[in-house]
Amino acid sequence: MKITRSLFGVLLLTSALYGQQDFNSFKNLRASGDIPSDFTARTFRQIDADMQNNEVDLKASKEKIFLEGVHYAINDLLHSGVVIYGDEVTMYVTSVAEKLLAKEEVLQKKLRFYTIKSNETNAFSTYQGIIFVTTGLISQLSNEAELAYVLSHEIAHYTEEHVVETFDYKVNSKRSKDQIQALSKFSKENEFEADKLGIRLYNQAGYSKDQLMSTFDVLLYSYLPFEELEYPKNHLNNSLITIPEGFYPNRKFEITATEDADDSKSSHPNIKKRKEAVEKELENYKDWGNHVYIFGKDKFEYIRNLCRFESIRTDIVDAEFDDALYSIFVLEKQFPKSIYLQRMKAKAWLGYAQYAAKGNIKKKLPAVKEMEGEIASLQYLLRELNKNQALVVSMRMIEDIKKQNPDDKVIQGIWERMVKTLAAFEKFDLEKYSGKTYEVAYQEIMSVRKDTVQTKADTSTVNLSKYDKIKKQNSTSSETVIIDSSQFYLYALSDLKSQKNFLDQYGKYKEEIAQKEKEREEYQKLSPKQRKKFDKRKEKEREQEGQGINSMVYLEPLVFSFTKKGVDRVKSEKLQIDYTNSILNIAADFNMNVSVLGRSNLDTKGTEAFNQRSVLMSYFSELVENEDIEVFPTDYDELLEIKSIYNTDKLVLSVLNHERNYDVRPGLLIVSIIFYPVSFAYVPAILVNANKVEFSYLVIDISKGELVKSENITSKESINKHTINARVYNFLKQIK
Amino acid sequence: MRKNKLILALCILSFTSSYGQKNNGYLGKKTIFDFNFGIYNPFLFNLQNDFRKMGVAKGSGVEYKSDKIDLNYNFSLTRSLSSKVSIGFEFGIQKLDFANQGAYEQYVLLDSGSFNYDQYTIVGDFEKLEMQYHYFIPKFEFKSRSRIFGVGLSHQLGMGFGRGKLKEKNYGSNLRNADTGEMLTQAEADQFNARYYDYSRNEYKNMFLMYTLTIRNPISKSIFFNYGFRYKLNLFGGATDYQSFETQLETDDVGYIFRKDRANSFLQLNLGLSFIF
Repeated sequence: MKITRSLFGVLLLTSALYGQQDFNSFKNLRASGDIPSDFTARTFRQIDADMQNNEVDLKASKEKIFLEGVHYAINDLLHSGVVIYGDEVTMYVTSVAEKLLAKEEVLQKKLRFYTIKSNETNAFSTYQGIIFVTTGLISQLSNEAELAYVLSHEIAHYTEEHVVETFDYKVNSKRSKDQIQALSKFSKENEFEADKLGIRLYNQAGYSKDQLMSTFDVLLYSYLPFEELEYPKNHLNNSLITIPEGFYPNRKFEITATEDADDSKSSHPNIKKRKEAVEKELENYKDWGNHVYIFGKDKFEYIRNLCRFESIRTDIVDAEFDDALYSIFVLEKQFPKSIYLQRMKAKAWLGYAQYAAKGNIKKKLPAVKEMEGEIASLQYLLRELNKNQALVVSMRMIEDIKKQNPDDKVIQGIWERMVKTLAAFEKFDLEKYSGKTYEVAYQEIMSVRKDTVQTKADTSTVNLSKYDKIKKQNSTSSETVIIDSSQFYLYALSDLKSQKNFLDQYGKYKEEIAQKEKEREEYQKLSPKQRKKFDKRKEKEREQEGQGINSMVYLEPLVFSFTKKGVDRVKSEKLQIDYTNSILNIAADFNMNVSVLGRSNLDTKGTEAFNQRSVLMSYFSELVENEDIEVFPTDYDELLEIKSIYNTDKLVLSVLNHERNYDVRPGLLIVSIIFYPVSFAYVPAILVNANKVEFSYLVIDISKGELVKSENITSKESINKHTINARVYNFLKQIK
Repeated sequence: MRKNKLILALCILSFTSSYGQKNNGYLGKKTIFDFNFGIYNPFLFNLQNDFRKMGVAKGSGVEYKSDKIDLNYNFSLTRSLSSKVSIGFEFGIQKLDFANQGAYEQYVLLDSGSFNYDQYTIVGDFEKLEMQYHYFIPKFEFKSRSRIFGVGLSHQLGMGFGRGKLKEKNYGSNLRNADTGEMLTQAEADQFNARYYDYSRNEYKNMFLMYTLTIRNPISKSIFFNYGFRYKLNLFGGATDYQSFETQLETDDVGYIFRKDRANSFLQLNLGLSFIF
């Protein structure tokens, strides 16, 4: 049995090595292989099964609340688009876990491991026996042993049933002012227990004692980037741009994290206490192995790089451009030819420019007093640049990336969006920009000034009056202003000023903007009556714009059915099934080619559909996160791939919110009982207002990144599969 | 968290460019046939009339009961005209029951050609008066633009025309002279019933304004369960036909019917099925 498992582990690793990624053309992490049943099971069925099997040691009334809570929370996460399975990272984590569980066959069969694509440094286990590890955690680790200890810790949480215990403690503890502290204390005890018990598996697997404690350092400094490398003040400079050093900080930013932080309200003890407790526990273990790596250093570093590359993507989706640019700066040292890093760099600069143009970039960057570590240098620069400077620097960076990769379609798309952003920025006037580089201009001015000063000097000393001398002094000052280094950006587009491609593109966007402005001015001149007429016409045009769509990818609708107590998750899930069926049935009646990507059909469509859904959800998440700007999709090439598979570029997203609340007021109820005719007015009022439904639809063109149609319908009506049918019918008919 | 963001985004994005649905009926269907029962409790009317009890035949006698539940039934056909307005008509039948008087003044002419008459009071057991009332209502149905025709809440407004006629039967039994206690002969009783309820003339006509709040919930691709509440305002009631010297069913009684009809409408609950096609 042992041999079989070892062979299996080797096979897994071999296949992983066989399919290793080339970081120069990195592809985002994707799920792979057969879809696990965790992803296809229906939550309400899982709850029923657990209830019947009395899986949890809780009172019946609390058992249902607990099971609904944990199953829905975890399944929401599994279907959020950020969890992957069967990929290289997950397989590696599973292999390490198998080493830890070599002597725990039963446990090994129960536990499943999945990766979350998130830059949070985290791992956690669930009641169901799933252990999640984030890419953010692996990005920060120094070696395999640290990962092994984190996994051991999480496995201990599972075996000790801490999730159930914490729930039980919460529901049984009396409400008081000290509740948070009490819960914090209880949670900390669980953490200490998991820390201690985790040592046993770690030790059994033969990992080195010396590496264990450094895991806590990873946790302590996890809020910093995965490397601390100095960001040179001339990093962005080249022959076409010179950013003066004054834009960078003139000091280092201290790292403030301390091991002995106040943890009175935290769920976890501070690092100092954890280290002390673990050190004490370590004394109980005698036989230690010496493994830092069981699967090899190269393998670990490869997996860590996968996670680090993935972290850049996550940063950009979350509009954390400073983090993305710093990570790219770090990784470029190792992978200078990576087209993926080039694309992401262009994307990050575009995002930065778009936020800067909107005046929102400072909200996305830490305040100077919050800056820490080497990344602060970059963050400081990004804060210091004004709007014009930010746009020009971004344009410069993207132009340079494009020059290096002239045939890359993604970079071309980003470049075009950058030109559009520049053209749309009112305060940007290309005329003001110099056709010379800063260096050339500086040299020219300096030489002219030198000549002038020299010429003048020849005559000035003899004939100038006091006042002429003052004037001369002032004129010298104005020459100094001309070469003021803060004007560096006026020289940063020198090549573009004469580049036909740029000028054509820029001119086209300027023309479009001018046309819109003209329309706006004409609208202002219209009388109220004419405006009403105009608005109606526009509304009709908009309705027609969203028509003629016969094929689309439909992301499984989100459904929330609320009662007074909150979301009725079981009802919501069942309505979601009805909604999905309705889309498929009505689309078939209309002969429309609608592909629904959702949980309902994952078991038949498999991992490919799962990955496609994740890409689309991530894209939508990106739209949401960056609602103020015209987002260029981070996963642009993957979206194009989906477009070609389904032969459509239309993506539909929909949400159904239903609220059922019989608002019975005691006072009116008593009046209605005593003087019952009142009930004949009161009851209808309750019934009419009891149900509120909101259907929202978005149709997005994924290749253009544009909203094609949106609709938000609110109505007071009850909800069932027939009313959903009616809404879906109307929606599909409208866009058909 | 992610889902919350998605919802938030949908709300924000769709709020800025939302527009209602076109005139699409339920699954594209735009004509609806409703069949409803109207159930009402004449509480307000009874309150106005000292909770008079109504006689109901039981065996050979009459039992007096309070008037608790009355029914009507109606059919209507409605066609959607636009995203907000539909047009239709309704036909309904209503049984208007009301309490008979407990005693009647009997006038007997002593000699023909003169106006001398004898007067005495007849008492007995009087069954409730039963009027069969028919009405017809051309109506408009209104809904908000966001609703689908046929589904959920709608408001109906119409002008109704009604006509009621007293059911022909012997309402009085066990009739006797209140003063002497003597029972009326069969011939006298027949004469009484014929004289006091002049069926050829006892007709009630009216016009009314109707408002109905209707909620239809689909239970299949073409059938709905519907419920709602109706309010009616009587405009004109035909009381003139009753101003007869000979009949006791005159103005007061017609007013009584009129009041009852109106009072009932305030308390009417509609329940029924709808068929859309």
